[in-house]
Amino acid sequence: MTEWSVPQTSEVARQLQEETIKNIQRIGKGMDLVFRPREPQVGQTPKEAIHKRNKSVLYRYGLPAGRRHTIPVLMVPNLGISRPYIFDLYPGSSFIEHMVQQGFDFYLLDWGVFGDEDNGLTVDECVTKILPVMVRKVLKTSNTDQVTLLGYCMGGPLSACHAALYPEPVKNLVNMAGPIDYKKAGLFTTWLDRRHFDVDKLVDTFGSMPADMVRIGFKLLKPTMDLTTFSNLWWNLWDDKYVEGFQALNKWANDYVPFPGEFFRQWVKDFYQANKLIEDELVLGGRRVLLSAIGCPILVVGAKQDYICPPECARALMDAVSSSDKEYFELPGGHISLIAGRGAARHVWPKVSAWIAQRSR
Amino acid sequence: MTDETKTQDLLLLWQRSMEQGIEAWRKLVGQPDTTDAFQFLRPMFGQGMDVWTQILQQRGTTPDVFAQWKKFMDDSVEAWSKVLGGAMETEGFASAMGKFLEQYLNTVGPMRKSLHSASEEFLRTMNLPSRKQVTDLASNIVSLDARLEALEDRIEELVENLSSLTALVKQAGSPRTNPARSTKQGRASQRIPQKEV
Repeated sequence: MTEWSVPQTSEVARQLQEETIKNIQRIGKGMDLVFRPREPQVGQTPKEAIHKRNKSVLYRYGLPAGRRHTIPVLMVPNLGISRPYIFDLYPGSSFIEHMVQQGFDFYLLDWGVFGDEDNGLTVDECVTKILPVMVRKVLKTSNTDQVTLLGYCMGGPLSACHAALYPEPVKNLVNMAGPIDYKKAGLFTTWLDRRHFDVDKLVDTFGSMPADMVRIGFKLLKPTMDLTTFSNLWWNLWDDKYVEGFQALNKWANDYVPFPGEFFRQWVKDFYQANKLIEDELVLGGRRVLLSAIGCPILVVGAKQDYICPPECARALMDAVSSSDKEYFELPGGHISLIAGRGAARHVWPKVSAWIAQRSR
Repeated sequence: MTDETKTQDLLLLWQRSMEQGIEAWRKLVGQPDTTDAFQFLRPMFGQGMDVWTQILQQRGTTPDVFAQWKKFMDDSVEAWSKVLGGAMETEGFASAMGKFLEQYLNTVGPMRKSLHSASEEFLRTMNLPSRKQVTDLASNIVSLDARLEALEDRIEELVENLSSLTALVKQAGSPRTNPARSTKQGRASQRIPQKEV
């Protein structure tokens, strides 16, 4: 615990003056936030929709002149839970902008927001039907025969499954905070255990996994998060840059999306409850998914304080693949700190882009 | 009475009210008296109080009231977060949450079912499509879309194969080697000897 020193009278007066000014600014900006809220502009990096399948859209980012690497990068984010604009939050704080600036031919698969009509969609269909089509479209558009798959969160295991089933076009595989060994998935492992969590009853009742229940699940992971967020906001309310970042991140953090029912059922049963992926028991499209079939270079990135995918849960991919070129690094921060925020821009993105660049020739 | 003991009294009062509240909820949701689904919460109160008291004892003074407040807030939140985290990773919490969800679904399920059948009945009477019919229609469109896409891919593939075949034929039927290149027969007759060679 910090010991406070007793300051001089002049120092007290200076601090008091400084604090008073900051408080006046805080009140003014707080009023602005409440009474004149501005919709934050997210996802501003130039992009082009390459392909659309049902709700899922494949975007290509950047301009042809800036593309220096021949191997394109396809980013596969999570399906459901949240929207992918976290990867392109706002100029200066965008992973996609960073990748484009590094000369990558960058693609993002936006799974979309699924409705009741999509409740029959399964993990199987995503990995064996949608992902292969998207990869094919990337290869065709970039006029190449290989691609780097970059999976974030749930996109990590989905990309790994795809790379295991269709290894030919995958030049490199990057898993950023993607759960692989679900016995080590922290609180979700305990909460989603089949003894306590009846996924069948939930899906049969609602047809899908409603966005509000997704929100409750994630808020429960860190119940004090909102308190910390708003205490930090009050503290930094005088700082325009902080407020701009807060608005964008807060918009994303409260923008939950539902899971298609059958997808959620299969996801919970096969991955969290039976841990089939790491046990080599997962069957997709009639074929067994063997992670050992992955022989391409792989990079696994874990976050030390990740409650959604603890580092050891993501790291399990390292031992499961047969690749000789594999690297793992772990950084301080939580699940989101890998993809958004100043720490990510300083420590994570340059490492990821440098690793891919070395293997994109 | 010092500030510290006042705080402890308040915490004890809060603990008692929480326990009574939980007990009331437990009875309301119809849990049998024999099981204590909220047992996991009890050590949490003790730990939380210890941490809180520790924070109060360790904090010094500063003229910057707001910095002091912020530090106190951060320390308290962090301490409570650890305590809550510890409680939530127990089997007891998972079991209590599972039971709560089950009871919620037991209540919501029949309600949704009766609401759906009533609204479907109403829509049928009004000669309007039901939600299920609209959803089914949307599903059909989605599957048609997928089939159309598969067809497009197939046609694209065929066109690619055809153009590569044409290129091959053009290459094989260059004017120097075979004057009969303009006819299919000519092209075919030209290829066979070339392969043999």
